[in-house]
Amino acid sequence: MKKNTMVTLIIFLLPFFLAGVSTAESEPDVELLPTITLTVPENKAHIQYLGLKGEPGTPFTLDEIDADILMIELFSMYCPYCQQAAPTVNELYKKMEQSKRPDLKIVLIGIGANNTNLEVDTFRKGFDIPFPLFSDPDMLIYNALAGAGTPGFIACKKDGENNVIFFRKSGGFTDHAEFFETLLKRAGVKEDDHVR
Amino acid sequence: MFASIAVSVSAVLIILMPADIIQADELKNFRELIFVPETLKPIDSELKIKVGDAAPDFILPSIQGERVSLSQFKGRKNVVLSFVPAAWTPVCSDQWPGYVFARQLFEVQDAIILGITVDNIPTLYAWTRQMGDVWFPVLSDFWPHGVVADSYGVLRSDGTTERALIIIDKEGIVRNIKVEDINVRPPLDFIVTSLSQLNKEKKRF
Repeated sequence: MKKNTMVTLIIFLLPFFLAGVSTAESEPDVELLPTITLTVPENKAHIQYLGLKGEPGTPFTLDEIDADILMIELFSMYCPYCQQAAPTVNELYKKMEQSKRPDLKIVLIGIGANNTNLEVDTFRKGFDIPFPLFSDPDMLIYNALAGAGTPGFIACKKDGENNVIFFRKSGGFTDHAEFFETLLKRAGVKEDDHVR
Repeated sequence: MFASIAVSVSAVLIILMPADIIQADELKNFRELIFVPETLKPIDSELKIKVGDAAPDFILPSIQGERVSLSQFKGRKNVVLSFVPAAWTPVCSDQWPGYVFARQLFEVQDAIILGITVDNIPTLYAWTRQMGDVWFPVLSDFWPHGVVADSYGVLRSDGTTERALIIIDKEGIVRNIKVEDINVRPPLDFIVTSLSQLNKEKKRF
């Protein structure tokens, strides 16, 4: 009698146990992009690049940017390593633009951590940076993104309604093409899927 | 004594300013040498100058091997005195690299920076080597210790200096002063706005 009760209990509990295992497997830890508000830039080309609909000077959130993959560079005008990395990051931007295709839009933006608008503008002019840069004078964005040094790179992609962070790198890189390939791989874009 | 001073100088920085992570091996090694102190009293001295005063003249040795005086720029350049607390500390270690990078902003205002700390020349020389092409004189107020900083009222009680910016016009007159919280880097905007204002006023005469 006791044996039968035990068997019944196991049969009864088994689906719950399996459901628990299955839930654990199907829900790996995901890091969602936090809600971050920026200001629509004045530069019309940048507005178009970001796919924004708002007027210059109005607020927008990062998830409004029209991108399948959004790469965020954390930098500071004062950081010699960011200065050193800037030309290579420009090359990365060019590579992203060259690899554009209708079903894969990759967008790059920069966040000037602890930098004023003037400092960000000085950095932009100094390196002729073509992609949009935003100032983060109080480091609110840097902290919300859990930045870990400058230069730093954080990439996210759309996953249904969410924007999921799938890539983080602290420090610069020397080979922009290799960095780009790594980014695509981590995003789950097959090599054959994109234009080299 | 110096250890505890240095400890105090840059603490919050690591919080306020990211610990820069690096690309080149030598730069990585450099960053590992930076000392991270605890949070310091924001300001620990009393100014002895005010806007409109004649800036106290001085002559100090530079890492470039010359002795540099304030008066040698009279009639030639606007001067930005940039006192920073100590070499090998976080905020100081990225303040001047920003000025190195922003050279054009100073040149367009016909200005020179004189960077001053109370460190000795060998220390300053080693520390500034990672900053790229340091185009402005870096001066040592090491001995007699902090005499120049004290003449401006920016020598702290622990023997370091405040993080101070003093804008001096071509006539040698103090035109603007900013003694920043030692734990925070002053925005470039203060310098650019002050110099720009100064030059605008000059044009009116």
